[in-house]
Order: sequence, then structure tokens, then C-alpha cells
Amino acid sequence: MILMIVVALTNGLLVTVSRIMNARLGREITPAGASVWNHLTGTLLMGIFFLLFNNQEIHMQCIPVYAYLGGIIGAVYITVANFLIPRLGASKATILMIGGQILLATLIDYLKDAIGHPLTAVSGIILIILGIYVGERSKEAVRTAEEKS
Amino acid sequence: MKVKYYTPMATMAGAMLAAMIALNGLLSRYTTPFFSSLLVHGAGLLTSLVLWRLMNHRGKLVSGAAPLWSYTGGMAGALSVVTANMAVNSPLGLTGSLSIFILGQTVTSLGVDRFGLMESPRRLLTPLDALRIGLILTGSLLVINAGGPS
Repeated sequence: MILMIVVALTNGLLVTVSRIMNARLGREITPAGASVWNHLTGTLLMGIFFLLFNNQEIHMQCIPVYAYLGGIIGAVYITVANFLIPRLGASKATILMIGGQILLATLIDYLKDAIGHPLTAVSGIILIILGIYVGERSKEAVRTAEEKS
Repeated sequence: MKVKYYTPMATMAGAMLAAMIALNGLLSRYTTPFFSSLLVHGAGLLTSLVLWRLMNHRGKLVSGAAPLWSYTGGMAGALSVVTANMAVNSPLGLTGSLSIFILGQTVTSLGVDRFGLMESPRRLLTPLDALRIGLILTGSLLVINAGGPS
């Protein structure tokens, strides 16, 4: 169990480290250019993992076209993140992305009727929206950010 | 791009991530987790190339100013797919894993800002930033643990 907690924490570490690496590269070769390298090196390593660990049979013909949409959305998301991270800072970009992710994931779960305790979910959503909003109230913060950029 | 758009943009980027995860989950039902992840990466690579061409006519994809390690962010990303699969399929389950994932992300990003890791600029946490992180993190943990049909 403790080992799995370490694995899960490592996942959070890897996700953030990957974003920061991409954003660093994006500062030099544009956010979309860094997304190309991200997907190129990711495809390479994923290909190695596939060859090493995949032991099930593959059936290509029955995959619907919309299933590839995730890859397309992912490329746009990485490009946007590469643009924002140097401008917002790592923690601000991270926490806002977490908020947005949970908001849409909750909507998806709601449409699938897969929310066990709606009251808990709603109070969580209120806190998230409050959190997204709270940093925006400081006009001074926006002004200094604009002077810097 | 105006600074006031950054917050809605970051929130939407997070929403895109949720949409991507939902779609990838769908794809992996048709094939194996590793193969679906490979397909997703391939589709993302093609899309990135198109985006890059559209946004940046004559730019180069290589720059001496960028450190070598910064080209390999995708490998950390691919490793994160594997660790995510391991955690979700362990006794931690989806809710336990997700809770720890976002904690790990937040702590790492705070470390990056605080110590300027990986050539990032150092950034101080303002009280308002801290309040925002507390609110969103608490809210997210509440939502995640609101659970499936009970």
C-alpha cells in the first residue's frame, strides 16, 4: 500500500516535471514546437513500453474514429499549457488546471449518473469556483503581471 | 494575449485534460492500455505538427538555447501513464489515486516556484495564491471522494 502511495505521488511529480520541461522548451521553440517534441519522445518511450509489456492481442478494425480525439485534444492542451506556465508560474497554472479538470470530470460523471454523494460534490465545486475566482479579485496583481509580461 | 484571459485559459486546459482522459478511457476499452496510449500519442504527434506549422511558419524545431533535457518532457509524460495505470489498478482505486495525483502535482509545482527548479523563475507565494490553492485542492478532494453510485 505504501509502495502504491509512492507510485501515485511519483505520478503527480512526473506530470508536473513533464509540464515544466515542455514549458522550458516552449520558451525557445514556441509552445506548439515543444508539443511536437513532447509527443515525439513520448511516442518513442510508449512504443518501447508497448513492445516490452503488452501481452494482449490487438484488434485495429473495430476502433471508432472519435476514439482518436483524445490525442488531438491532448496536443492542444499541451500547447496551451506550454504557453501559460511561464506566464502564470508553475503552481498557479497547476492548481487552475486541476480545478478545470475536476469541474469537467464532475460534469461527465453527472451525465453518466455516477455521483454517489451529490451534496459533497456540489460543495466541492463551489470551493473550486471560489478558488478560481479569488485570485482574480486583486486588480493590483493583474497590473503587476501585465507590467512584467 | 491579455493577462485576464490566462486564468480562464488554464481552467479550460484542465477541462481539456478531463475530456482527453475520458476519451482515452473509451479507446482503451477497444484495445489494450499500452496500445491505446501509443495511438493517443501518435494522434497527438500529428496534431502538434499541424498546430506548429499553422502557428509558426519558418521557425526551427531545435534551439541551442534550450537545455537537452527539456526535449524529453514526453518521456516523463509516458512514464506518468504507466504509474497512473499501476496506481489506479491497485488497492488505492480511482479516488485514492486521483487524490494523491493532484497532491503530488501541487507539491511539485510549489517546489518548482519556490526553488526555481528546471530553470524556472523563482516565484513567491502570495497569501491570495495560497488561499486559492487551499480552496481548489479542498474542493477537488471533496469532489473526488464524493464517489460513485453508493
